[in-house]
Amino acid sequence: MSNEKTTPVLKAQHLGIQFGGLKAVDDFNMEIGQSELVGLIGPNGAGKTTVFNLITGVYKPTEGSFYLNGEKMNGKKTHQIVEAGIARTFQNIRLFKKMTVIDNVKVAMQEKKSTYRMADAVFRTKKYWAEEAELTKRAKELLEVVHLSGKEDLLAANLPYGQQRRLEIARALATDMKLLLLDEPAAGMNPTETEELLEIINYIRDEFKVSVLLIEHDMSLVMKICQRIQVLDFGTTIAAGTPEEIANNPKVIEAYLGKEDE
Amino acid sequence: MKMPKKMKLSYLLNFLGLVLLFSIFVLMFESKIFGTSTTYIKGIFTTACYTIIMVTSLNLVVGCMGEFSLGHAGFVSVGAYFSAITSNALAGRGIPDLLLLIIALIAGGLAAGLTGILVGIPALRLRGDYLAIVTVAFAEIIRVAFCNFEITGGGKTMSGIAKLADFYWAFWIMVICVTVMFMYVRSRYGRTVKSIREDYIAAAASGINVTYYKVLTFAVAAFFAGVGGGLYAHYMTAMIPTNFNFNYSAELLSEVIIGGTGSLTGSVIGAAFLSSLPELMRQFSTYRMLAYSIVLVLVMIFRPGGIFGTWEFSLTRLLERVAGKAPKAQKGGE
Repeated sequence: MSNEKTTPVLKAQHLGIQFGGLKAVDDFNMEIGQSELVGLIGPNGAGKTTVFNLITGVYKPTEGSFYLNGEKMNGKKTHQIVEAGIARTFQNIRLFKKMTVIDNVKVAMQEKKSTYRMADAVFRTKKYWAEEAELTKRAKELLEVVHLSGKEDLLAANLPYGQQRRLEIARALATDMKLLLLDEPAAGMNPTETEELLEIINYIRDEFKVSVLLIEHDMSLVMKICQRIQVLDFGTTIAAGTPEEIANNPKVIEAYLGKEDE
Repeated sequence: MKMPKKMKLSYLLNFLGLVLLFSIFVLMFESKIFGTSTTYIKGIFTTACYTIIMVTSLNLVVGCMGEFSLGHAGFVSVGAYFSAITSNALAGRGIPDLLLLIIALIAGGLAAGLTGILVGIPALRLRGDYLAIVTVAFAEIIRVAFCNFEITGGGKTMSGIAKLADFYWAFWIMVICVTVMFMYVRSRYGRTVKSIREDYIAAAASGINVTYYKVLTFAVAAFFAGVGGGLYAHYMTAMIPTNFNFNYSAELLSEVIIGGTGSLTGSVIGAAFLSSLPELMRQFSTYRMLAYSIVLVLVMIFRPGGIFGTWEFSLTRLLERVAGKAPKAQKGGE
């Protein structure tokens, strides 16, 4: 029933959360369309990651609501939201460190893709072998997308930093999502790695037809790939628009650089 | 898709290895090379069998799930008493001994598994130290309850349980239990549980219902602890609730840790060795806990991951190595 043109993939309405007396996020509104790449920027502590935590069910919003393809997501648990189609990466990398690279991807994939039961596992039925083989195959495809082919059997903890970030993206992709939330994916990367990441993000958006919401401090990356940008400061939206509009918005410049002396 | 040929061969090899091991035991006991102490030594091996089941099942919780449980004896005792009650109720109805044993063990396992679910749902919301405390409390509650129930002997020894288990059956039951647990760990279930151990927030963000899989694994572990308890009951034929006290839980846990958290091989060998140790040095039996603590301290200092770490024994790999065509043992990835 959902009309792709009119129903946004993500719609947040007056979303807000209060921790004690502090309004970490207040009156947050956002719409992300099909295959759209939106940036969320703001100074440190502006509430960007809190927005991610709200949308993924880590925190329960105290105000407002948000919808995925028109379906209300408020109050759902994290795993239910992921099942519905929102996946994320983390600002401080959270991989399953003592598991192999391919297992990291398979874990995230199997909740949707594999249905074999405990009895199948114990007796190693045909279904078990077929599904495991399928998981491995698809996991390898996803690792190829993030340029990690050939690293399948390494422990995730042994990957270099930039590759760990890409593995997180592959793991998010494995959940078969409609909306991908990337929390500072380029943090700590050198310019070459950032360039590679940019290619990967563009590829994912085109190939998988997903929408992306990106938190990033690397302005050159944000300006290059985002179609729209929303700027947060102290939990409130201070600007929204195209990269050009944002770059010249006095409020944004003020939030980042401070006010000129009066 | 069918089972890959290599795996089929590997399973067959492992099975043959077990049959070989079993025949060695049979030969050893039937030829009576130990003379008068044959029955005694057989007893030690039987003890080892059920201890292996209990320790391996605890390793599911401690090693795979990464949660500390100090109340495993509680599940063992639920399984032991429930299976004893079941076999007592069914005794004398012409059911063959082996079938009766299996029914009793399954009943004991299910009772323990159900208890696992009931305890797990509230307790597994806690993590680390807090969970450990709750599991201790649970085991104590079970012990005190069994001391007061009429049907469990009311604090006195419950005796007269049919002696249904001997070493030969105990061996195969142990093999089946360990195999099932191994298959559980090496499947999507085990993978999920390990991911929860590694990072439960990331696991939830990967679409995993963390609570469900934690409770499920806890229940599976409790089930096998119950089966182990059932074997215990039908081998010992008499028991008292205080057998399953805090010391017993601690003993099981130290066997897991010494063997290696996360390595089923470690649990099997650790349990086999440590459960027969006190019998072998019977005259020092009062110092058993002392010996345990010293071993535990030494292991923690020199091999913090346990003797076997996360390494798993593989007969196939060993044979390939012997044949000289094997790649080096892969490290790390379980």
